Amino acid sequence: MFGLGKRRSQEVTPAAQPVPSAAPLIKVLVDEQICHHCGGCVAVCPPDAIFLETSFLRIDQETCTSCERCVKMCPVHALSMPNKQITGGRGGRRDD
Amino acid sequence: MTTNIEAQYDVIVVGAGPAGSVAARIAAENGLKTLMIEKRQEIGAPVRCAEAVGGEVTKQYIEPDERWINAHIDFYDIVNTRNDRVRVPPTEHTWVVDRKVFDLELAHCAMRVGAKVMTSTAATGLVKEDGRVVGVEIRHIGRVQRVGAKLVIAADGTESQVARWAGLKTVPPMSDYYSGAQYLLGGLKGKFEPNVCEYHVGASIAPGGYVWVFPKGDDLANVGLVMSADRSAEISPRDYLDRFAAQHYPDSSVMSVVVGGIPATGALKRMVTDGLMVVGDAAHQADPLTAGGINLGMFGADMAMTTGVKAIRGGDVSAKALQPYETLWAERFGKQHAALLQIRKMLTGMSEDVFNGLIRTAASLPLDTMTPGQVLMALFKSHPRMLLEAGTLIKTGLILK
Repeated sequence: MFGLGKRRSQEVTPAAQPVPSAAPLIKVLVDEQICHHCGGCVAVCPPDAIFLETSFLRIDQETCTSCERCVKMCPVHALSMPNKQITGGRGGRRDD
Repeated sequence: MTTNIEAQYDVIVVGAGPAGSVAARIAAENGLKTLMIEKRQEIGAPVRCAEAVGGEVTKQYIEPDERWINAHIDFYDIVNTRNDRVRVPPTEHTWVVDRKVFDLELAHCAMRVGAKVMTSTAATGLVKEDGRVVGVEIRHIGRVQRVGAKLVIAADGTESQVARWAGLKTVPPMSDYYSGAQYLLGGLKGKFEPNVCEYHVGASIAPGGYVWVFPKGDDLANVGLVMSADRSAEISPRDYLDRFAAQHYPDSSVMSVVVGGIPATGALKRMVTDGLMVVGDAAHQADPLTAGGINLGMFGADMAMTTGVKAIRGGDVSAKALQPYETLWAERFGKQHAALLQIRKMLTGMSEDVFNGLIRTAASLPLDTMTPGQVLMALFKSHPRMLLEAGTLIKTGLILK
C-alpha cells in the first residue's frame, strides 16, 4: 500500500497515454491477418510509436512521424500507409 | 500518484530468451533475489530463430541434451546462385536446436537455482527515482503492479522497449537491420545432407543477406533468409523465401513459419544506465554478418552479470559502476564484430557475378591443404577485380585469425 513515508519523486516511463479526444488520422495501418507479431517494426521505429502487445500490434498514430521504416522493414508486408505513397524500393532514397 | 512498490528484488530480468535466462541463472546462483518475466504465454514459442548454436559455447551454459539437439553439424557449405559450393569446417562443432525445448530448459536452469519465473507478464514501464531505474511496472494477465529492483536486465529482444525507456539509443540504421523469414520445411528427403548447414548467397535470391538451409533431423530443415531492411520495401523476405522454396523444394510442406528482424550493427555503444543493463538482441549483440545471436547473447548476459553482481554487492549500481560490462564486451568482440560488419558491407556491394566467380574458383581449390593466404592469392589471380576489396579482406582476415 502507500509506502511507509517513502515519498520520493517516483515516476513510470512511459507515462500512461491520455485518451485522444478525437480519432487521430491513421498513418500506419496493420493488417492483423498478415502480421506475425515479430516486433521488427518496433525495433526500427524512431519515435517509439509501435507496441507489440501480447497478441496484437498497437500503433500510436499521434506519435508516428510517417517515416515509412516499419512499412519497408516488415518481412511479410503487413503494414501500409493508406494516406501516403511509399517511396522507393531497392535503390530508393536513403532513409537514415 | 501512488508510488507503492509491491515487491522488491535484487534483479529483475525482462525477457526469458537465452540471454535473459543465463542472466537470471547467474544472478540467482550468486544468492541474489531474482525475478525473470516473459511477455509471451510460453517460453521459447513462437520460435524466432534459425536455431543454430555453437556446441562448445552452449555447453558452458547448459548440459547438452538430445531432447533439444535436432542435428549435429560438421560442415558449412557456401553456395552461389549457380550451385557451386565451397565446403568449410565450422570454427566449432555446431548444433541445430529446438528452441522451444532449449529455451524452456535454460529458464528452468535459472528457476532451479532460485530465480522466480513469470510468463504472460509484460514490462509496461520502468519505475524511476530521480532519473535512476529502481524497478519495473509489470502486467500479469491484466494485473498491473510495480516491482522494485536494484538492477534491471533488459533482455527483451530485438524490439526492446525497456532499453528505450531507460533512455538508451537503440534504433538501428535500416541498412544495418536484417528483415527475415523462415519456413520449417518438411518432405525434403535427399534434398540436404543431415550434417551440413548451407548458406546460399546472391543478390537475386536475398539482397544484402543470404538464405540458409539448416537440417532439423529426418526430412525437416529450417529454410530461411535475411535481407537488408533497406531493400525489402518492394519484394518482402517472405516473397523471396517463397521463390527460393518453390525453386529448390517444390514439393515441400511448410511445417512452421517464422518472421522477424535482427539488428546487424554490432553491440550498442551504451548498454548500461543507472540501475539497468541491456543484453542479447536488445543490445544488438548478434553477429553483424550471420545475424546469429544465441551464443553471443549468452556471453553478453554472462559479462553483464559478472559486472552486475559485483555492483549490487558493492551497493553501487550507477552507470559508472556498471560500465565495466561495456569494456568486457568491447575487448572480447569489438574488433571482431567491426570486421564482420565490414565483410558484410563488402559482400553487399559485390555483384552477384563476381561472387559467383569467386565461389566457382574456390570450389575448384583443394581448400583443406591450403593456408588462408594461399587461398586468397589464388582468388586474386583469377579475379583481379577483387583486388579493389583487398584492403578490407586482408585487414578483416588478420583480425579474425
